[in-house]
Amino acid sequence: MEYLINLAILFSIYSMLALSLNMVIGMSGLVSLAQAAFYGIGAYATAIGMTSLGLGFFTTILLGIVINVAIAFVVGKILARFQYDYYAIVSAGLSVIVFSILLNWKKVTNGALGIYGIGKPVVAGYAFYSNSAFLGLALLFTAAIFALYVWIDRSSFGRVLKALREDERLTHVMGYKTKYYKSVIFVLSAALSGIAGAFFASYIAFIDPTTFQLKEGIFLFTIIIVGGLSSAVGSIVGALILISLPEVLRFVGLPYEIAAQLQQIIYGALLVLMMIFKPQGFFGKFRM
Amino acid sequence: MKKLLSILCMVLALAACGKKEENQNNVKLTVKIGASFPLSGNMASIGNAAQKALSAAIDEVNKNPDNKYFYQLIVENDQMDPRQINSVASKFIYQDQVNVMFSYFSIANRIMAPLAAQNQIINFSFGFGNDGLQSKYNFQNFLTVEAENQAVIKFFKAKKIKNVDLVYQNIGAADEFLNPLLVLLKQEGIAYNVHRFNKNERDFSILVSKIKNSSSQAVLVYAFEPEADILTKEFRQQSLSKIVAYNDGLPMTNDYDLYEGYYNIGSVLTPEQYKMLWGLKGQNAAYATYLYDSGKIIVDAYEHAPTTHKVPTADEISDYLHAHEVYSGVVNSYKLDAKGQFHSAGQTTIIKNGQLTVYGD
Repeated sequence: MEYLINLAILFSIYSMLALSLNMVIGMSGLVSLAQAAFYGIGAYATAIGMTSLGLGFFTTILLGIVINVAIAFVVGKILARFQYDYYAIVSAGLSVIVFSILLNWKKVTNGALGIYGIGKPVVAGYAFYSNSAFLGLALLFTAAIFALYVWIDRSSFGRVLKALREDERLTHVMGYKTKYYKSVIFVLSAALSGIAGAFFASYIAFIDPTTFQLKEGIFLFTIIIVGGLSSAVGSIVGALILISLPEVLRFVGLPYEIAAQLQQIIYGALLVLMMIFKPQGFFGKFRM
Repeated sequence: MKKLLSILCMVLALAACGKKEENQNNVKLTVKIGASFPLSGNMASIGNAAQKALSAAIDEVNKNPDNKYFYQLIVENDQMDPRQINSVASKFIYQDQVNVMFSYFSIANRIMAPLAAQNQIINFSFGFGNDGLQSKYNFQNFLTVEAENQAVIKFFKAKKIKNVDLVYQNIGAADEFLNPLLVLLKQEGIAYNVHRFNKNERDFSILVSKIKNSSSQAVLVYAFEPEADILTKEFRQQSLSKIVAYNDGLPMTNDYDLYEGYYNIGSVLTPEQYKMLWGLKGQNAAYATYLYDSGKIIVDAYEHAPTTHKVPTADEISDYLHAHEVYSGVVNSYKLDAKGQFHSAGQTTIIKNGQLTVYGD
């Protein structure tokens, strides 16, 4: 049971990330590969805040959000000038920059050695030490982000984002400041990724820069493609599949000499099959 | 939705077909050993060699009919990724309910050691940076940073090296060595230039050119595959004529021609090890043999620890290990300290005429 709770916590964290990324890619059509960077900043804000500054978990969440908002505001302004694959390349650049900073700013981030001994959240004297309690808290935040996603999706703001996704020029001609909308959703998405980062750091209790590389951004991208673009439910389903599939494969009785390699091949093959039979993802409302 | 369900069913059916290694001897009780290695990704060659070494130790032990217990090895791939390591640890602790965990490298240890302490499970690690992670249940068996760096200094003194270029990959393990080494170099009056490079760097031409033109007498490299090979090819291409030594680099290579005449400082490779490389040549055999010895040490503890239970508890195993302090394996002789660190001496080897040979002073 505890093992399943562990998976559920990871699923919850990746659901937060997928929902926040789907706001940018699915809802707005902006192919961002910067999510791992904001995820990492949130995680490091919590790790440094709790281990070096003695801050509480929730204070570090706020700290991560503030840092992410500030960075995303500046980067978002630059990114708003781009579309499609250009947007992807520039956002990937941010991911690379943040990874390099996390790796090399050793006085603050401890470099490649990472930070360990990160604490658990405490609310009014109650510490979320047990995995089930931590899961409850993580699910609460996931539900809140899910609700926020649905609310934006149904709002006039969300409708403009979708219009922007379908035809940015036309939306602009209709009188909407598209750059403003692009920046706002990018900043919001970055802030939400920071929350996921905080939960990840606190749960694993150790972080190092390798977790927050560009490949993690591509993994998150895969989650929302498999689950379905522009769908809150799709984000959740995508996270469920991509987090649980490798774990299910651990129980396939392959000879251990080749199990790891075969698991990777099966994992990849299943993703290929999913994309062949469901190119729009399971709940996709939009296809790139 | 139907397709989603069909795919999930397919995966679950696949999982249901699975059959893990079971106790072949119904009479003996089983001691479960969970080992988490990077079996895919950049560190796969090291992880696969470690897996083979530990498997060899456990297979040998299980052939002994006089043993009290059957030792079941459960190996999982952690890809050296914190998320995967955490999942593997959870599986070992809660699902497999292992008696012992083996974690590789400091990243894995930093995640698994606190979980081992919390759940009272013996954890054997092969990384560095155990500070703050000590508990009664955590043990670490690899050269300490101090021992490895002392071997480096000994080598430099023997070669009368007064100026060295240090080429270190930008990874945690390298940092663990580098910072204390710089202190030692200063103390010994050896001048140095530090050059760092990131994982996945492929072009070392400028770096090697700089080294070639520097006033150093030697180059000390800390790098994993494939960067170590690419860097070394660049040394050859630019005909670098300085002394080249690696911190635990040579046992990783399968290209002994490339490394001919170059030194390895650090993990021990004894004549006994040559007899038992299990085809590990070219797969980081030196690291792997520490795993082999640790497998034997933990089995010895289970076989001989005094117990009031059917299978010794983690406390009883820990007490037994700490009561003995001195161990001899195929790699080395070890001295266990109160913090759970096995101490052993470092050694220098050289590839000479295509053979990895122990290098004397």
